[in-house]
Amino acid sequence: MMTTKLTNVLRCSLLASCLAWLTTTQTTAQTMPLATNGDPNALASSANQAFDAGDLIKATQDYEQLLGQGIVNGHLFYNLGVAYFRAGRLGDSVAAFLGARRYLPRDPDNAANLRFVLGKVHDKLEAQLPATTTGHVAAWLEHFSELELAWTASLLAALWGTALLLTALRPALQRWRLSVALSVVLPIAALAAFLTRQAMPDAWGAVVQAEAKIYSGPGKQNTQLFALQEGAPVLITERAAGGYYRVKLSDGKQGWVADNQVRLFGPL
Amino acid sequence: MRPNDFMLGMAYALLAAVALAATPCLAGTISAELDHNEGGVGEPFVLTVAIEGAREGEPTIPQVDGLEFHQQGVSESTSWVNGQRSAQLQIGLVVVATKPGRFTIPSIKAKVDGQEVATLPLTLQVGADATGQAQNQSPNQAQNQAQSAAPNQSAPNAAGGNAKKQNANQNQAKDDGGKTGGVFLDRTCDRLDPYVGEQVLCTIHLYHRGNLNGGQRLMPSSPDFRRFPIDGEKRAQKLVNGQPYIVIELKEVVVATKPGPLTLPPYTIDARILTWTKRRNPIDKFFNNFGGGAFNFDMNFTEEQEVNLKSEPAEFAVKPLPQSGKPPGFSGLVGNFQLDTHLSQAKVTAGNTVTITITLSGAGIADSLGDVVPDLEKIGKVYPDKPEYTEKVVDPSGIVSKRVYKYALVPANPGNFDLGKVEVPVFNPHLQQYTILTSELGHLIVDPSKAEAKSLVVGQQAQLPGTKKEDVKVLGSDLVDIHHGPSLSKQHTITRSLVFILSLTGTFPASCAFLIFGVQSLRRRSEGDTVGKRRSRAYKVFKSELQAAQVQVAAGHVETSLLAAYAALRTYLGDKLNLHGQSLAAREVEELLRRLGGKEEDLQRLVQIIKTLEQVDFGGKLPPLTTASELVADLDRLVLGLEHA
Repeated sequence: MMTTKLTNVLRCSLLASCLAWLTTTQTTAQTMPLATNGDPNALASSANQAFDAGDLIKATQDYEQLLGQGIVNGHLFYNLGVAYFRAGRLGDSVAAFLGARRYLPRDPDNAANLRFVLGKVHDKLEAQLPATTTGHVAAWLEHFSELELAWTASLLAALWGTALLLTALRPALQRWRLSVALSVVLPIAALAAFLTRQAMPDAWGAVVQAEAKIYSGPGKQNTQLFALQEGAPVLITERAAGGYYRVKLSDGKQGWVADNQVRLFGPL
Repeated sequence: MRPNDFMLGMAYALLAAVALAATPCLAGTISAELDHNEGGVGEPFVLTVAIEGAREGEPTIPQVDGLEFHQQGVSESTSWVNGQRSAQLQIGLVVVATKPGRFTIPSIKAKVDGQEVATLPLTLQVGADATGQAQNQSPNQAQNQAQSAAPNQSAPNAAGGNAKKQNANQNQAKDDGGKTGGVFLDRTCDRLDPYVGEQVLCTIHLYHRGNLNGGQRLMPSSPDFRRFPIDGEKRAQKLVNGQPYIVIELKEVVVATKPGPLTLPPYTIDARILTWTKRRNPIDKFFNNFGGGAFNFDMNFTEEQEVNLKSEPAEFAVKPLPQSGKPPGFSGLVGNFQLDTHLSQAKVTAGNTVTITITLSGAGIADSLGDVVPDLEKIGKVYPDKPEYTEKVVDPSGIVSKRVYKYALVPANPGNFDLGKVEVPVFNPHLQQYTILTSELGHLIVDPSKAEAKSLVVGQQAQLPGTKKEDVKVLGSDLVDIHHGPSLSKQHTITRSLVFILSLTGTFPASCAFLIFGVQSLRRRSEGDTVGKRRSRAYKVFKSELQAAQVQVAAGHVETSLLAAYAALRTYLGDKLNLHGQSLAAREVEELLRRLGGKEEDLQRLVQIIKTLEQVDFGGKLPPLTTASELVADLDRLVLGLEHA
């Protein structure tokens, strides 16, 4: 009698917790965009309409206003890249498509546009490091965004936890308990993939001025190593005090460049 | 002191003694000579007086009306020849006539080796002016003679400020008061009126009489000229006014960077020359040091001295490049160049790379030439490589440079393409006109790529007879349009709130599972405690219930007593095995007793007792009191045995 009562109480608690969690999740997800000033959805719609109408200035301004609200969105970067290119801003366009690639790594439109704009760049540089540097696993992980891998790890962990829970609540499933317990390697592998992807350098930006001078250290007092033309893709690996980025090129060259000469979409 | 040093010192001392003894036996000589004996008024004649031997006093220079004598330098040297000491004195004099006429320089006398010696008289024929005579001599010759006459000093200014008369193409070392040890240099440039960017070859002659012990060329930088030394040197012997000189010929190429009157800095050499020194006379040194413990004999009679040799700066009148005829796109390339182009292959598959090599080579500097990429974007993508540049300075061509451009062309579409031509405008200073170097790139046949070829084959197979299918021609390329569908305002980054959600999602079910596992574990532990407690106090309960039975037996209540004893046994078994003891049947009790273990005879007795108790319980068949009393006592003993078992 007592045992049945305890089980029922546990089941009710579990149900209540699940409901509370779902409520919290939905509330947080809905309130996230509203945390910014203005109506981002309306602004995005207005920007797209302006672009379709050929008003590149307004479209660019609206997209940039969304950027100013702290929104980091691959589709926003992609649209900005198109708008920048139409407006003749090659460097900004390359930087925007590179930024979109971080969040939409398998988007075919972005890949095509990035190839297209890189073809217009004077410097013979690629927008990715050689495979020998990143490794095959890392190269494979580049097909996924951090967000995707985080959700994958989270959902796999939830599935595993649910299976474990079922083995606890259903005596008939107790014989599967060991198998379920061993399958913990799946969410752990997903978590490892997420952490590896997060540690991988992917802050690719591009030169946005006609020419950018690359120095051996953060400051003009250092030796000028080489110069890059507008649109040259660079991997930003570090930011130094004084407004200088440490950059790495696909051919292995490295140096420091003033941060106003290079643009990066998304966080470093 | 080492024995070897001592023996060496003694040997030097012996040699010195022999030499000193031999010196008085040598006869002293004096000689005088003029570099030339015909000239004009104001023209310098170089008179050299040479005295060999130990002189007493200085020679007397005579006074001649109409002639001025200017002493320019004195050279004194001592040498050892076959162990004999020989002292030499050379006095250089410049003689300038102040009026025309025939002059005789009388004998110059001196006392040498204790004897009075004199030169022969010399005769000079002086004309009305210097030009008539000077025309018979090349200016270079005049200067060289002046220099050689006074080898301890540099010559041009020894000629009495006649440096201005020298050929504009030539400039020589200035007099430095004999500090250069008779070593001097001059520089001659091919031309002094080149075009901007035209290379001019300059030849430098370094004269010495075997006393040059090395040196280093210095190339003073100039914003007006780029200077390129030519490696290597030529050596020759040259008689200058009867004196043998070793001449080292060096060369440099200079290129003016701007038009106008420009001054080329002097050619400069930091030279190391050998000069005689008295202080290191080995004999003096020997006797000075003898007994001092040094015995440091040194037979090096010369001392090395560093001197800075300079030519005169050269004045250039650099001409600008002509404006007329300047072709569009002219980048300032000056020289005599050739242009060559090369295709790595004349036939290529679409999508593969063909390398175009453009080579510009020739005499001149091409380091500043810009890009010469032809317009090939209509054919495919062009990837320029970094141009290679090499430059050599060779004699006698001067600077020979080579610039190689490489372009990787990746044709996009199949077809037969005329790649056009490459044109490079250049100014040729020898022809004094602009020319356009042209080279045809030729034709490139681009085959369809494998994928395209395959599709063509499929298309050909599928086509109907009489229909002709063609590839879809690519007319242009553009960006893919913007994304309208997806939300632009949704965050794609991992925010803190998202981290919270993901963590909760991932960990909540597992947390619940672990919670349930914990509760179940606690519950099992709690149940286990109850059973254990019941088991531990089973015998105690049995004893208390059996005592009640014993009391009943003592009171003579057989039935009550035996029923109580049976109940006590079943309670004990129930407690012990965690069962409901009172519902146990006789057979079950027997089985449980066997599970508890114990001796077989005890078990047999217990089974017998249980059967008796069963008969009392269900059959109402009561045993006698004594039997009942024994039965209760046996039960107590047997259960105690079970408890211990």
